[in-house]
Amino acid sequence: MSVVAPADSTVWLACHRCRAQYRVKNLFALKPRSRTACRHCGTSFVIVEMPVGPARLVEGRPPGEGPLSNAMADRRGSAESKGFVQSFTTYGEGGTLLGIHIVNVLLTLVTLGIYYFWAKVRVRRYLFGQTEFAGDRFSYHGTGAEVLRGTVKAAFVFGVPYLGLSFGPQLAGMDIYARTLSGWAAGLLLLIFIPVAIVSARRYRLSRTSWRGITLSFRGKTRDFINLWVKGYLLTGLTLGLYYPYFSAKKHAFLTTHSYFGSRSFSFQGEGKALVKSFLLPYCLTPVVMSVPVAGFLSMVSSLMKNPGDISAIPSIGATTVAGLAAAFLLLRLLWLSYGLKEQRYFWEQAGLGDASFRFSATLWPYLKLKALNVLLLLATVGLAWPWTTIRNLRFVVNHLTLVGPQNFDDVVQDYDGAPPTGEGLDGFLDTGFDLA
Amino acid sequence: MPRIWHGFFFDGRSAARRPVTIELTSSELKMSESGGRTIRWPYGRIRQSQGAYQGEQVRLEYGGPAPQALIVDDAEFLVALRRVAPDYTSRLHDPTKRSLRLTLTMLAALAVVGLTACLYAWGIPAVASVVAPLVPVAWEERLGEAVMEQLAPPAGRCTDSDRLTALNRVVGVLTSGMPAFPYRVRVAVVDRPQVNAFAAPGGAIVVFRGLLEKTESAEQLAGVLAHELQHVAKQHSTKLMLEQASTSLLITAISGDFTGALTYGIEGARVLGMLRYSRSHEEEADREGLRVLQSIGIDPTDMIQFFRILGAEHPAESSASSYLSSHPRMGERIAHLTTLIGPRHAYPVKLLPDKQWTDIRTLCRHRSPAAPSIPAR
Repeated sequence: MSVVAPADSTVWLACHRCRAQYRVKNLFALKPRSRTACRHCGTSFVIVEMPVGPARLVEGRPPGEGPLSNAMADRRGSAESKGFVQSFTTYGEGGTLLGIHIVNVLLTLVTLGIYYFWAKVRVRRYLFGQTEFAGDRFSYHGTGAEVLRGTVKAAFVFGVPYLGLSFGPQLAGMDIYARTLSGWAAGLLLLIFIPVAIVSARRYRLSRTSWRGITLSFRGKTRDFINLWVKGYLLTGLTLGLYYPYFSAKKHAFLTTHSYFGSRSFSFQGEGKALVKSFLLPYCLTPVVMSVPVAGFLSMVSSLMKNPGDISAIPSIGATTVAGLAAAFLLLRLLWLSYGLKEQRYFWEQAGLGDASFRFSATLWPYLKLKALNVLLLLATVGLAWPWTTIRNLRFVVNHLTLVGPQNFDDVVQDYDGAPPTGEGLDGFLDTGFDLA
Repeated sequence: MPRIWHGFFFDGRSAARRPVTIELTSSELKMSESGGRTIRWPYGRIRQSQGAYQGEQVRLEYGGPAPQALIVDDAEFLVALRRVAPDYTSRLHDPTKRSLRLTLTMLAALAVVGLTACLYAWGIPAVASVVAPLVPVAWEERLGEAVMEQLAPPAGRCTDSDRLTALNRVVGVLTSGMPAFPYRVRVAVVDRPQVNAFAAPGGAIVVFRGLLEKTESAEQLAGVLAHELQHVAKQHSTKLMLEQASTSLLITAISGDFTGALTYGIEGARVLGMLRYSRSHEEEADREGLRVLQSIGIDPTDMIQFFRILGAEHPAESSASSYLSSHPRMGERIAHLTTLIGPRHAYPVKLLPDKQWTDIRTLCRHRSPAAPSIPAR
């Protein structure tokens, strides 16, 4: 079976034995180890691997044998310069992460919490080190001391003033006007703190992440992001949430286009208007769904008011209301998870690096299964399944993420002067999550 | 074991991957590219950033801040490196000791379980006991006022000043038996049918009309108030807040970072964990309240008698599992207090004649323009 390199997501396959040709509309729908047979001569074939170059298809071989290992060896060849599809993979395992977590917990307890920052770094170092793109693994260089310093700075610059403004007037016995004014000031401080935290965390995380020895970086100005954030936040409030897709796309555009891999910048062409249609469905259904249990509750209460002596109905009202609210919550969660996935997919597919662009092929049902099983695992183990759910989440993302298009990473050069990322003092706090762009 | 290895070299300046042949000499690690170029790393300055876990590539780095890197797919390379240059490479990971590391991890898991149990049973209550006395009384009083505003708003309080003054006298007798009591007690009676009472931080005590009407004598109410005053004196609300924060931190440390749905699971675990602290505070308030009654000459059997009334009022709660309740089971409380009373004594103090108490119980049926809470002290 031979493959004609695609110009888009379409690919032509030809059987070596009978020369019959087949068109695959969506190259990205092919999965490694998928099996099929030529409809004309019956020759079986299997997809050996998808990570590099066009899909390699090998005749009559069972999955997992022979050619697969050869393909793994080829992975590090020169495929990237002529290849179109580069995949992410993770080799992380829940058991190993649990071992790291156990030692982290012990040291965190013994040091009365101080080791927490080193623990965070150890976990991230493991996850990054187990994640591979185009045959090479990521590397994380952050240190616990850096994250601790960032947290202490954040606590002094934002935490102490915020707590002072929030609770100080009450503890000092000030009047209601002073308390209200102070509460507003605390809210304003929080409004500014969130974008600063987002940018600082991203700047720190990228500056400590490398691939093939080349460090990533974030070069956006914090002030610009605060402006974008405050404006977007206010507009979202004034439009009762309708501006949210635009705000979300602008945030993502800012964070992506100011991110660099060495000398090469990431690109993003997404716009909020592309998300509006998807957003309107959960947006419009939310009040409708919520109104059903509330209306039911009110009608039951009104019937109770007509017969005030009959308290026997109270337990059934309570149970029905709780059940209605739970059902509504579940339905809304499904609606918003669906939107969240669409947004994530759109953002990935509008992002690129050089001439290549990302593809994110996750669909709703597997995503819901992932989330539902994670929730069950965590609830059943009171959180002890955390290492496995972390790996499951990471695996889900990397298994559905590819970079498509011509790339030659050999051209990328280091663009790092050795100084702290941008000289900002708050790098490293609220440094959570794992994302690559 | 071969002395020649294969790997990939990154120079830290470009993303080009260079296949290299690696030779481990006695003084340096030597990498040769196919074009003939040779890179040499003295062993002493090599550091390892990956390859400590099963299945992970070995990644060695050299120099900085954008270091050169060498990637080798085989963990045996580390073994060879440590063998060739043991003086310089002892800080590198040793793959031959992975089974030892597994054993140590299992021991660490046991240590975590033991340490968590100790912190939960003794560490957290000890921290709360040390920190709570450091909280200024004025802070507790303001917090108590905020609680009162929420749970017993002035509009819902009973306002008959004469009968409130009589209650005030009962509180005054009780506080006279509590030396070094720094709080100004404010009692509010709320016009609601629940048979309940609670203490907020800083000396605020709320009694519901339902409870007041169930008491048969001033001494029975004194038993309830003695219990609530102990919550105030022992700073149980403040300690509970400290214990709650500490328990949350402990659970966070054990379960890692949690977001989304796990928050509910964590919250459930925290609530369950807090019940034990709450029960312990209740037992202490019962015990110390009873001692105060005895010390000022009030018959403590009245307190127990009222607990029996409460038990009859809430039979379901009395039979619920004590591990799922914020209070000990009523039967256990009564039995424990009966043991504490010991031999029967004569208790001379009669707070109010029963006839007058019958009148005071009607407090909420009367209205008075002033709506003071009682400044007992």
